Amino acid sequence: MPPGQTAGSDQPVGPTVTFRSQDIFPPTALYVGPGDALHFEFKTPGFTGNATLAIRFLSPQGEIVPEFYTLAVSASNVSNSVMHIPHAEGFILSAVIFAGAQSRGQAFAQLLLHIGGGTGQSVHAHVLLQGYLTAYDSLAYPLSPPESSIGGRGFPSVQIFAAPFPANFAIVTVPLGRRWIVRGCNVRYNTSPVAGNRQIELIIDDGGAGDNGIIAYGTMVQPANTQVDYSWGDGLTTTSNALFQNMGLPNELALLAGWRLQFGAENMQAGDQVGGPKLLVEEFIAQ
Amino acid sequence: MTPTLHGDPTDQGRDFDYNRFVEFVRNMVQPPSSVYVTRDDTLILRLWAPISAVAWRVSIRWQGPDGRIIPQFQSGSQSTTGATPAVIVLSSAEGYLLSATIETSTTTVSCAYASLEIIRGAGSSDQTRGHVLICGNVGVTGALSFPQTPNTTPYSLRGALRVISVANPGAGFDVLQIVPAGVTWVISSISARLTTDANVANRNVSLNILDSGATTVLRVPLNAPFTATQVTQITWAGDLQPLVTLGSAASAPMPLTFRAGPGFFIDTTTQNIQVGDAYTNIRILVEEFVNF
Repeated sequence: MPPGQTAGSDQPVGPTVTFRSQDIFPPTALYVGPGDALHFEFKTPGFTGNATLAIRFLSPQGEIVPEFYTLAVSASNVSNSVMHIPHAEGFILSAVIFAGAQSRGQAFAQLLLHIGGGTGQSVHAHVLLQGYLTAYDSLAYPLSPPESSIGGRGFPSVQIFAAPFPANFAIVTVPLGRRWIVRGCNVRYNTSPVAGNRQIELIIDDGGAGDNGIIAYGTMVQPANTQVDYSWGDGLTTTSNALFQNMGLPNELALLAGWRLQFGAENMQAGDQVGGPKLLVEEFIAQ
Repeated sequence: MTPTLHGDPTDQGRDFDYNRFVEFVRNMVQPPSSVYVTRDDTLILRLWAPISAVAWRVSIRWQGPDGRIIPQFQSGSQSTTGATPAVIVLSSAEGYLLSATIETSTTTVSCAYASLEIIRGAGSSDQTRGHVLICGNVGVTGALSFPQTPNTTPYSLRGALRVISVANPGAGFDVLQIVPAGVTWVISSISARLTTDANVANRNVSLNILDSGATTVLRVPLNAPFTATQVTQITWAGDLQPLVTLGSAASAPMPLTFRAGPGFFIDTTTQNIQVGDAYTNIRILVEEFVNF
């Protein structure tokens, strides 16, 4: 009889293959030492609610202990929601984290294992889980591979800005801690009775003085005392009539925090008004 | 008394086990890692940071032969030139490597590419590659961690977004920018301001991209000339319409996600350029990838 195997009566499927029931090694490589702690962290500018961590833990005595933690998450551009969990010695068999965020791209989470320290510790000794969560998409150790904050799909977000911006460019700045891929934008331009043809333009830059990264123009001119709605989008071919025009936008146009979109016009006259821009962006929680 | 597999019979023998049918060993447990490191093994961090200096941090969980878990943390700042990485020799000891994490604190996503390896022997002068634990793009949000993170190439994710400010070429000269060694650019847009002097001539402008051997691979002309004493902001970008506007702006399309490798030339050809014609405000929006 192989070492560690007990009497054959508890191995009814043998004798070709039998399994040991004594001297079993813990069925996981994730050993938690006496001074270890778990660190559960959330970055989320657009979600306030509860996030949950559930663990199956194997004690040295062989008992499987379920653990359940709830973290109250607050939406913030700059501060992360954090839970620090000093832990008993043993083996983590599995861990799963989930949250009530409505859409992918709203909440980015990490579960870390490190020795000692407190909530302010920035040393990430072992990343167990990392990625985006939703109410339906959880992250589960050991099978979920850690993902980058700019991997996969982001959060489809409609950004509406107050109008009007009289006699000036409407400027939209990407918020702190986020990255946008611009999928489309729309703006209304009203010309005053002052004579002259205007031509709408969208200027995209990185916020530095004198930068002009991309400038996308309307192909038609707009005379005095008229109103036209302009739209930009990936892959659009220009079409227009007296009320509307659409135009192409560079493919997969990604913008970092602090970068700007400016809507205005060539030959802008006093009394012209740029309406509040409406943007469809794919948002990531990233630099 | 000598401990058994299940514990010291004096205080925590098998009678204290939770289960009736399965007994787990508590002593002489197999170390929970397949990565054994011994003397003469060397931990090597290779770092490619061609854009700017990167503040890197490596944290490792070791398990010593006596079972104790020992954290190790090392950090530094490093920049590199071209395709040659910085080779950083990290401290090591005999034992089992449980986990290793690479992070940065001062860069945007994908500004640097890093790999962590175990090699046998001399270290930085040894060209023999060893056990690659982690490799991938690093950034300020997120981390690379052995054994959870899959190894990836520099092109597996998005690159670093950059606006390249090109030096003014001076009056009478065209724009010229060369893609630096060690990176590949996916070009989103090219924009420049052309101010023409008072000399009467029709200036026809084209954007050219040439490979590192100076073979032209792309030429995109604007569809109307510029005359004397004009100031025109010109933009080439994917999906833009060919356009010359109210005398002060022009645009033309260029291929989507166009990749220009190290040494590629990005320049303009201005037919009939005059001695006082000048390009200024030259900006190139790119997604930059480490290339080696």
